[in-house]
Amino acid sequence: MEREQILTQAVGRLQSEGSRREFMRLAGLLGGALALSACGKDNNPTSPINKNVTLNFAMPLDVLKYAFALEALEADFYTKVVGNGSFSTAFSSAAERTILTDIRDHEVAHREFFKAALLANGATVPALSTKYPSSVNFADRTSVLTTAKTFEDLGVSAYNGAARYLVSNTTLLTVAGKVVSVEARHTSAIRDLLSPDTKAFADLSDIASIGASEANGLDGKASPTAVLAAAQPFINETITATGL
Amino acid sequence: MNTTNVMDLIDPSETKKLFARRDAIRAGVTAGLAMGSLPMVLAAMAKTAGAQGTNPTVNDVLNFALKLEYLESEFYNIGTGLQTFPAEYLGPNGVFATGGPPKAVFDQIAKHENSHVALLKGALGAAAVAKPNFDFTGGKGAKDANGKYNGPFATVFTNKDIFLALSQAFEDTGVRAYKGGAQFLISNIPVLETALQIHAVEARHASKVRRIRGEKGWISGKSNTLPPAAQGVYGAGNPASTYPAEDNTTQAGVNVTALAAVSGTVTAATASESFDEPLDVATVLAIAGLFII
Repeated sequence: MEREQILTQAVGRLQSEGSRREFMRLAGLLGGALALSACGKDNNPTSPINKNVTLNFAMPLDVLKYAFALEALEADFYTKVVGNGSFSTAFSSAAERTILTDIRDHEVAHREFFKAALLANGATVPALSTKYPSSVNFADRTSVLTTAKTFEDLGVSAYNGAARYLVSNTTLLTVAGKVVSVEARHTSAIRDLLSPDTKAFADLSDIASIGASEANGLDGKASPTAVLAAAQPFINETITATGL
Repeated sequence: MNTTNVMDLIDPSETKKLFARRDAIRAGVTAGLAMGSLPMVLAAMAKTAGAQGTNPTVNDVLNFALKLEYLESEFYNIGTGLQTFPAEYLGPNGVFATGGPPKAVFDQIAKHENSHVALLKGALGAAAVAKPNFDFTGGKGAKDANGKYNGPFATVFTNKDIFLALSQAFEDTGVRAYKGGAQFLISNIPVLETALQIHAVEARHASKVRRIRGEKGWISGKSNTLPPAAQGVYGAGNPASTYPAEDNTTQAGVNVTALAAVSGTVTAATASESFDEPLDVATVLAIAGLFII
């Protein structure tokens, strides 16, 4: 399957000297990165092979893989936030810690749900690993909340923009709808922590670039290509969208 | 233990084919062949949703949404003072008196609801329903000796707690209503996307209002602090299999509480919080109907 193709490509790459350097770089990256999920034998975090992922949006199962990828990224992020040694000092308010812990639990549940749905339908679960730009400081409240806001707003836009690929299956369309409103609840809370009791919780003017319209009261909506471009700095593997 | 999985949503003949296919995958059949036929299986999952009676048209759904937006916009326009305080309500308006909720939040919500009304009216054109007459006290227009609406929420604009409770009820109902309506908009992708974009904004509103009221921003089980008359907001719709109550923990046949969590398995509370539930048109209209004269 995909794996064989990737393996062939990787072997080809490793035959050149230049790629050997890439091999070492990737080995270092992957060695330091926490695997996004336990996906069985497909997922070997110590593998030197940077598996690229192609998603065909003409196939509903690949839309599920897309959702899985986004949820896995969010789950990894919040797991690192809550698990950080500085969590209770960066977030001195117990109420704020509860919000972030709740969100972590939701994103983990989302990730595990999409994984279970993929497996139940005989599909593979993409093996993905995260990376974080140096600008993300897990010990700093503002940095964490700003990154969380980016992820949640992007998540809302991603689901809204992916709905058109699920019209052939109202069960999956409804499931996506069940998840996206929870992401919207998250971003509302995160934004409110950054700017309490202002219009920030639902100020759509700062997400016009991902399809929102404050004038019309419309939340974001972004194409998989745009969403993946925005998420790519956080994911080691290259994810490509086709069938759009 | 609930052992239902996605397979159970598929009719037996499809399940049989799928199992055969999975065996084939295991046996090493190429990906192209196996993957190409899976969407057909997923399409079969939708069979129960499409089989029930006559589905509403796109315009039906938009008019349904418009009714809810009329309700929300008038509610917030009165509350925030965008609209002259109607003589039929007990006054003066005390929602945002000292010690009240942050007005900037509700100004923003009112702005959005008015935008939604304008957007839906524009989309429907001549087919748009007229604005109903509302009685936010929930008394269907009944008045006391002083000519004031005197339903169970008679102090809706003088008591911030009542105003906030109804706000939460309207926003959470709105989220469920758009979610339930989405499946009937698949024939018109621009409309579907617009409805989903409104849906997410309502969820932003709901989260903030809930937090102002001291609840979590997400719906945890069916427990809430709304008055008894508003409990239907979190209950099951009809049919309950398609429109479960908010404490539902099974999604697309997957028992979410059986899935791995950071520690152990996902709790029932987390499972319910992680997925919002849709509601059918009739149930939503029954809830909204409490406030329509």
